[in-house]
Amino acid sequence: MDEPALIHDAQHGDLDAFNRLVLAYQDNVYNTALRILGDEDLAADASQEAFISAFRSITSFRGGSFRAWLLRTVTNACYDELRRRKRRPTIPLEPLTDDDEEVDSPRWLADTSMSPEQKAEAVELEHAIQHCLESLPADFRTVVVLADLQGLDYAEISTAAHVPLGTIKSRLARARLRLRECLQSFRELLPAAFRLEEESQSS
Amino acid sequence: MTQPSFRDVETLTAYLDGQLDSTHHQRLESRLGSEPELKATLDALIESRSVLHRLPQRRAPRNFMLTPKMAGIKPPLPRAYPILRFASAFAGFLFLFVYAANFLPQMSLPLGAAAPAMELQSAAPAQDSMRNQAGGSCDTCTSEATIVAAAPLAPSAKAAPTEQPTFEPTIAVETQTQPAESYGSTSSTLERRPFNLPALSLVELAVLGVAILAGLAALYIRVRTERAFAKKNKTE
Repeated sequence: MDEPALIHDAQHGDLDAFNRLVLAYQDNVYNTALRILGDEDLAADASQEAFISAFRSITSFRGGSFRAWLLRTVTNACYDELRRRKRRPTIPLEPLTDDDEEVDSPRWLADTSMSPEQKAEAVELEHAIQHCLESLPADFRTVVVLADLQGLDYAEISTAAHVPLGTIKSRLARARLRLRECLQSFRELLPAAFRLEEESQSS
Repeated sequence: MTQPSFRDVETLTAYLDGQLDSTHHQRLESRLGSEPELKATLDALIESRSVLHRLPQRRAPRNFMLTPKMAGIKPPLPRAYPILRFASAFAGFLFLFVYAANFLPQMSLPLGAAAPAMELQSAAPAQDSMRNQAGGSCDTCTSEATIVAAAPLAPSAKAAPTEQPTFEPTIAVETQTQPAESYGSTSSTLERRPFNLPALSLVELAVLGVAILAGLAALYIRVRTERAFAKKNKTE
């Protein structure tokens, strides 16, 4: 894929060229939205919004990392959705225990798949990590998703999250510390190496 | 042993991501050799990151490719269309032109001329009826009209010596004498009007027809082009 040529054509209104870029990046964009929002439908909507917005403003792209620029549009779409959710909060249908108390972390406890046992563990681990990601403030979550899940360097994260480099370093450090604390409560789901590390620290 | 400060954690994070310059990198590595707490924190950060890397990359649930409608792309219009696009502006301009042609000449007339014209219109049928009553004789018409116009003068002339002037007779004299005096000056206005109005109406009708036709043509071309564009995209 000749990315610069496709970007050039898209900047001149070639929708086919832009759609080839969409096909190349749609998984990255969707995964970023999914990890920030934690909801598949909302993530799909945010991704679509991001691509529409990207096409309309592609003339403002002045070079550099196109992926970072694209992830910036999806990050903005996710922030819009999070703000909307904050303005109009919804009450989830939480499952209750026998004592009429809400089940802790129903998202990760709920086994949405009917897969075999070995697959279920991976799904539960995914839910556990997603739960910990959602416990982070949105700014921290965005930075950690872009750095550790999308593999962007600090300069690209700075472009995508629209924050200075120094802030990224600070947010990333805080986010990783908080994630560490959160993941400790799901020790039984974590890989063996992680558990061994925990045990050696406690002894 | 002391717990690493937040600044140390920041440095460790940058070290982990390969964002430290060579000087800081070497300094941190020497510290890691001598400070087990710092090393433990680094290991914890590495493990956290490796857990995050275990998150599977999901495939997009659908294609997010844009359609021309989503992208807000409009169909290319025929070359003749730009001329027709100005149909509404053209109609607006013509409306102003017709409006000006209708009302500006009336506004430019002297104020005194408009009132007699109206009075004359009401006076003319009266004169016609008088002519009919007189049996169509033209000589008697003029003399009777003069008598009728002069008749109201008699009471006011009689009233003057007795010094009992009333407001009503005076007004009656003025209003009744004026048409007779100004008759000659307004007759020309009456003659011109029947010629101006029909000519202006024809121009108005022609302009209206052109504007409506241009607007309909623009609408037809737009609808037809958009349908063809939508059909083409559907087949593709």
